[in-house]
Amino acid sequence: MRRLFHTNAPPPGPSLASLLPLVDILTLLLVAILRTWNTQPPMPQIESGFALPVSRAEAEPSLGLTIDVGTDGIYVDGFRTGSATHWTRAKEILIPELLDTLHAAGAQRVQVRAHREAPWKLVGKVLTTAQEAGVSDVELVAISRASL
Amino acid sequence: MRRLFQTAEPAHDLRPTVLSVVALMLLLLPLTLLSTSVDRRTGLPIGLSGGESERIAGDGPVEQIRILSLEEGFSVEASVRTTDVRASAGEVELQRMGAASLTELQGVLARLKRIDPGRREATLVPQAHSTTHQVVRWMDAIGEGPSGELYPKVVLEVAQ
Repeated sequence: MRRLFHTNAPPPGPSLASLLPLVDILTLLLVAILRTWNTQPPMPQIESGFALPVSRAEAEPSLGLTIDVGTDGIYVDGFRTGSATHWTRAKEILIPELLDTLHAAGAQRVQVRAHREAPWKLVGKVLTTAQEAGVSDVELVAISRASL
Repeated sequence: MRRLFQTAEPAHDLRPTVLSVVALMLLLLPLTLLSTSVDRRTGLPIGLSGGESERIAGDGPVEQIRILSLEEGFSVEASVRTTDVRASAGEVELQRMGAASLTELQGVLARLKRIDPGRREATLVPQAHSTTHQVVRWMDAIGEGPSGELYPKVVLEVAQ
């Protein structure tokens, strides 16, 4: 027998239906992040406005000594080794300071992170210097189009 | 037939479960965004050429492919053997083809790929004032075209 005045009042708090869209959005966000997730730490900003070129490739860059070629300077593992403007204008093919640093480091593998607007003349000099220093593996780092 | 004194079991309330998932995601998302980068970096392995025309050894009919970037478009130089490809020294014909755009360049490279499907290397000669972004874009275009793989191993020639 049903009780008099018995009502099926909903329990207090937000209804289940109102939470489901939130779960949907969060799931989509999580999937999108995991799709582009990588173990690489955020790239330190060597110079303000430093931007890498964009590539269709998706292979992760291998670990190694990092040479950054910015609009203002050339950096090895974050330490400035030369002026970008000077070495863009200079007629010399090799960059002595960079050569000395690479010789001292004795690196066999180097990744070159060049600003997307860096002239090839300068990047070419950096690559030639690395080759002269005995570096066997050189990689040009870019941002994959698979990024968010 | 309903039993006497039967009581309806209360429905299991799913809201605490859903709320715990939401709370977990609200913690997980910012932590993931803080500890990782949304920019996925990629490495383009490159070969370096000294500036003089280096021939990459191969058994196929195409001995060398050089792609020169020009002010307007590209010029493709292909050394194609005209005699027995297994001969150590044979006659080589230098073919020059122009391409006004990247699409045309991919068409030219696709034709060369049909001549020598086994070849995977090509030499790219950017101009001194070309930007890194342009060079990377050209490398992508040379590596793979609309019809499939072209020349994924790109040797960059540095002007001496």
